[in-house]
Amino acid sequence: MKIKFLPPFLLCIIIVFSCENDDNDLKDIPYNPQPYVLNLPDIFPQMEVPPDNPLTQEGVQLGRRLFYDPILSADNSMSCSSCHQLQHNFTDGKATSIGIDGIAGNRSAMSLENVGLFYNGIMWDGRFNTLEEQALEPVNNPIELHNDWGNVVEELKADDDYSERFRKAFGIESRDEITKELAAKAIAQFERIIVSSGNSRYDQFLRGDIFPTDSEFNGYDMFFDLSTDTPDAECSHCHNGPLLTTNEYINNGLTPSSDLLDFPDAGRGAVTEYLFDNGKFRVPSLRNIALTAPYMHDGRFQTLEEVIDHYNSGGHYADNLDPLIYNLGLTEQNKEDLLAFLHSLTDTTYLSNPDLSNPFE
Amino acid sequence: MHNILKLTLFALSGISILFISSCTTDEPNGTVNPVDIVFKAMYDDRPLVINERYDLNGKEITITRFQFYISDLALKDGNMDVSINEIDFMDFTQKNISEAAALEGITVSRASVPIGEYDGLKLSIGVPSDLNEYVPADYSSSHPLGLGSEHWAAWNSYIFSKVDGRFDTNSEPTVLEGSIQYHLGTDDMFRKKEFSELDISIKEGAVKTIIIEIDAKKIFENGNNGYLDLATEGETHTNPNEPGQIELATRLADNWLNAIMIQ
Repeated sequence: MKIKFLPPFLLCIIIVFSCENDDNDLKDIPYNPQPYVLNLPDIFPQMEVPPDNPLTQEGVQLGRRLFYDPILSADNSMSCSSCHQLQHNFTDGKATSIGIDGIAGNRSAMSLENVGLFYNGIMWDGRFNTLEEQALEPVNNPIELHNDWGNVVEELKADDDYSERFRKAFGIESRDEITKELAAKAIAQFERIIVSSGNSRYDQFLRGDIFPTDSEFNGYDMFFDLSTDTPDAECSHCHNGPLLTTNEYINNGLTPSSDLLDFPDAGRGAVTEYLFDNGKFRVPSLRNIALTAPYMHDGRFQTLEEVIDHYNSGGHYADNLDPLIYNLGLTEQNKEDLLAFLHSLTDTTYLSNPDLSNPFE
Repeated sequence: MHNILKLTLFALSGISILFISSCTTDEPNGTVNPVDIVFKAMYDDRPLVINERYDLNGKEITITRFQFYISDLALKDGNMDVSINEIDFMDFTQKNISEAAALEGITVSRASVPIGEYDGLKLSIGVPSDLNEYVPADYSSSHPLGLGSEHWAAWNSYIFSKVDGRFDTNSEPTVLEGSIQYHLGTDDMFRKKEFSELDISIKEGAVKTIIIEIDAKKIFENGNNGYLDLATEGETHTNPNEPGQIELATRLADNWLNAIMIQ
């Protein structure tokens, strides 16, 4: 008698499995990614996008959701945007960032503005070569999101909306194909669209649209050492080009050190294991610098005035102190002018790009 | 009408490609060989290691940044040039972090140089004027001319070379107080170097390697008067508004020519 129940039982099993397979299958969802057109200011270099991760509208929108979604953290309390807040020019306004367990790191969150245009490494110590590599780190980092990518990926697979978005962005055929690498690619795509508008007063001046104030112009003159009318503030040697950074790593004399092994944070040296790189950190872009206090890799300076005072002092000597760091002898007026120029680098118009906003609000 | 125009342009493009290809097919298989030109930065007879201390006229100095553009690198066969590379950026700051790395040098390669005998080699230090009209925005960021850090917008010029360092200003060398900043740019600082009466034989088989050394110490020479006085001549940014900087930059540009040697 019992055997007569076997066929219906097997049928049910087949149906259940086939339902699961159908649910896993994403092939019915159209895959037709559209290129994302990036509008860079005319004076910016062309962005190099990895051939295996071209910018698409679908990829950028997926990355945007992941960037703002606390699903990436172990307790669903923080996302990438917790330390890279749009209203703070994609920093967090803190000296050093604090993760989900309330533990502070030893570095300040860098702004993401134009991060897709940087080269020679990403982060204060340049330990990542690509945005795709970098995007993988914070999830597992115990002092950041303190989660596990395995958990995150399972949550993403279980989420219908995310599954559909991964399909539309990357053409995967089943939920099983969702990986942390694809998530990182999407986040990297979103980060590449965080680019300046090129509408700061400085940009407008370069285009000939406006003339700066006397104070801004004197600061510009000092910054780029254009004339003998003002002292050379030596800024542009490291903050050069349209992004106002040379993408180099230097010791700018912040920290006293008895020798090259004595820096409390070895910075670049911890990555390269080269003694003379100890105490060196990435030269940040100065675009929108007035919006990204506090300053330096450890957020030690609260204001730009303190930053200027540091450079004017000549900093602390070490065998690898950059030769451009020395007592500049700037007057109070010189410093005010330099400050005025730094404020002329402010441009918040790019932050109103709707593609950069939080999609959950 | 629009389609006809497109077709015409397409056809013309195809013809152009065929024409260009036919002009460069003078390197059939078996008649070319790879050539590596290795650039090595030295200080006197030692490999230049960034941040190491060296002697300059009895005073200790360090070189903390050493980088420059080379352009128009070519082998010469009589009056004919065989181009190796149009433009490249030599960044010894990143490369020369140890003696071993310094000895490796930076290699510029060309996969297919016609087999034959060459009697010369030429190169230039800096960016030729026709390329110096461009700006980094015209290139991708990994192209040598796409490096925003190596262009002075204010002078409308790439920075042809940077030599930075520190020097001792007294007899107590624990701290090197003085700073060296030699940043050359603008068309007037472009320099051409040509080596003649060479015997370079490119044969089928192993990669031909040619070594070029750049002796950083020679950049500090002051004609027949020994070496530059770094206390008074330790800095130039080729600022056209400061004649003293231009004069020093001109001497340094000439020194670069003397600093380049073929091994």
